[in-house]
Amino acid sequence: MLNAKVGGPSVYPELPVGAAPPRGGWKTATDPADANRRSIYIFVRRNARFPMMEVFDMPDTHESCGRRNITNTAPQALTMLNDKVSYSWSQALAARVLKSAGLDDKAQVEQAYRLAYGRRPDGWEKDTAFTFFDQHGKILAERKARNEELALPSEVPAGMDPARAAALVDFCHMLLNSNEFVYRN
Amino acid sequence: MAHKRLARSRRDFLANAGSGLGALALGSLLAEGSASAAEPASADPLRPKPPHHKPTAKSVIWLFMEGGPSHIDLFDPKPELEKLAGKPMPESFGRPITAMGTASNTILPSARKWKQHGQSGIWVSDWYPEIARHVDDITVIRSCWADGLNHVGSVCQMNTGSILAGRPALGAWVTYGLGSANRNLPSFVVLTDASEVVGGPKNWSAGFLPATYQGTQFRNSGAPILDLVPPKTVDNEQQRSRLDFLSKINRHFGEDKAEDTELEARIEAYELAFRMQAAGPEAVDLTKESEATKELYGMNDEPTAKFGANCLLARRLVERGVRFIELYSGSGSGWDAHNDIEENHGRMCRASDKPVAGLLADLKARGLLDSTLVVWGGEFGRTPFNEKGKGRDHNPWGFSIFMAGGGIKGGQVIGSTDEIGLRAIEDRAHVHDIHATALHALGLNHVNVTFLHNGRSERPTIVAGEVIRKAFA
Repeated sequence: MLNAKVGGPSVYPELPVGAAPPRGGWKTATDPADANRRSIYIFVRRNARFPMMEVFDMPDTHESCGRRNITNTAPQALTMLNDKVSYSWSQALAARVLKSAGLDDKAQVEQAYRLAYGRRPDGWEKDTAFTFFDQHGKILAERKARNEELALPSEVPAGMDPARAAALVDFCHMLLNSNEFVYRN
Repeated sequence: MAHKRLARSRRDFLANAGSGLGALALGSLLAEGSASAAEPASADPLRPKPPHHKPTAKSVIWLFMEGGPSHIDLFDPKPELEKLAGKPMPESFGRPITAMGTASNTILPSARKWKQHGQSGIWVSDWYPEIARHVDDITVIRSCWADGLNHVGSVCQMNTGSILAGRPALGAWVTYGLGSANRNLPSFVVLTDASEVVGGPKNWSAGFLPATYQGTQFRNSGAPILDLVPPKTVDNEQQRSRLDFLSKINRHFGEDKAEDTELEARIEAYELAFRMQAAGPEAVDLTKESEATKELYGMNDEPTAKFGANCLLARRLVERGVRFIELYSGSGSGWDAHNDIEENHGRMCRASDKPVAGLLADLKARGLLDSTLVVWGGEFGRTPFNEKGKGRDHNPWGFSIFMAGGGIKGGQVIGSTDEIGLRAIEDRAHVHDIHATALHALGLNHVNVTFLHNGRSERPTIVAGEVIRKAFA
């Protein structure tokens, strides 16, 4: 997903739902690939930090910053759980997993762990993942039966059950939300 | 086989080995109940903790008039200014360095009409007619002073005790000292009514305290926190199921890292996030409030609607056990009347008078005022001499705040400024004294709320502060 383009003018990724544009306006990017530039390219106004950067301790723009704060807060969890940007990452990761692992449960879990953590899952982890696919898949199947929208991988292989595909997205989403993903070993 | 990992750096290890053991020894030497770094790492950082003494307040509502309200046009009448009108200050006052270099400008008397109010006869100008009805429930402190000249530093000091960024906000210290009384909502909430507070989130930061104690800013419309509501592809059952799975893999990862509090804090942050998803929207839902209540707070009138809604929200948060609520009136330096005091303050007073008065009345009617400390004030006051003819410059040497409820004595004035309102002279109350007083009301002794940081037992009032005893009934 990451747009590796280097240099050039700042970009204006779409603001989260409900966020008011800062004073001076926000020229939301028309090219969706702009939203996937490295965050250093996000436009900064002195009085307005991009909400996701702000929630993750981007320093105050009014003065120099000797040392950045590192915090753990519920709003960060909400951003990672509910923001559509974070969801789009897991939809892309799920598609990547499916591309190499296909429809095999075990291969999916191993591939997802390899991509997210750079290691193989242990037996407990595999077992827990299978249980999640099963139980969470049922919740999603019920949602589908009620004609509710599911978040699917950005590409779904032919013949894959949508509820099961959506369960993989949530699985990937939780890996990206996990402590192991955030903290170096 | 999964490899076993050490999720801590060598630096963390050395720091913990040093301060951890040292703090442990110190803790047992002192054998004292003050919150300290000696607590076991596994302890829930937000669990309710006993106060040092019997509190007179459970919650604080801090009404922050950002930009600097003019004390000499609101609570501190100075007839002397009439006599000096149009002349520079007498030489005896010297020429203090002001933000805009205005000290040689001529005196600008207050254009307000003043009256004594209530049984106590406290003077309030005609800019605050509604608040004036409550003077018998408030203590006006006319002798406040602070260290900063500009907004960023001064707003920071009123929040954190220091004009320099980096120290914990008072609300963070309170949360650290007392824990949380409602685990479904943040314990320290910040509400704004206009643009971003000058200096931004450092004003409610946890500084060197663990981040879990920092304030949470509620947004002005829609969900109070961005991303509080999941996208439509996620319902509640699904979210719970996802989080249960997340919690399992996080605990699996943390099994051999019990000493790492960050991992546990992050797990807790996700659980709080889930509870907030339900409790947050309920807490900020003002639609269930009666028409009479909305009217009381001025919500049906455009100029007072925004701040009124925030004041009503503050009451709802107090009812739900939120300990520290900070409401900005004119967030983004709205009260900063450099050009035209009449226009600016006329507007800002209109926007805040009815909401604040409504809050006091509502808290009282519900029996909450006794246990809720309400503080009204800015980061500094304004000068008796003019700026640009009709405006006033920053004045950190003398200004007024008021306190109400939460054990505060009603109907009294503490302290005074000199005859032109430039400097506090009698019963001077520094920002540290104000902070010590608010903590005292909450049952905390400001010198015993300590946190070991860089080898020093830091406290909210740094190395100063005295409780303003006279303020209490």
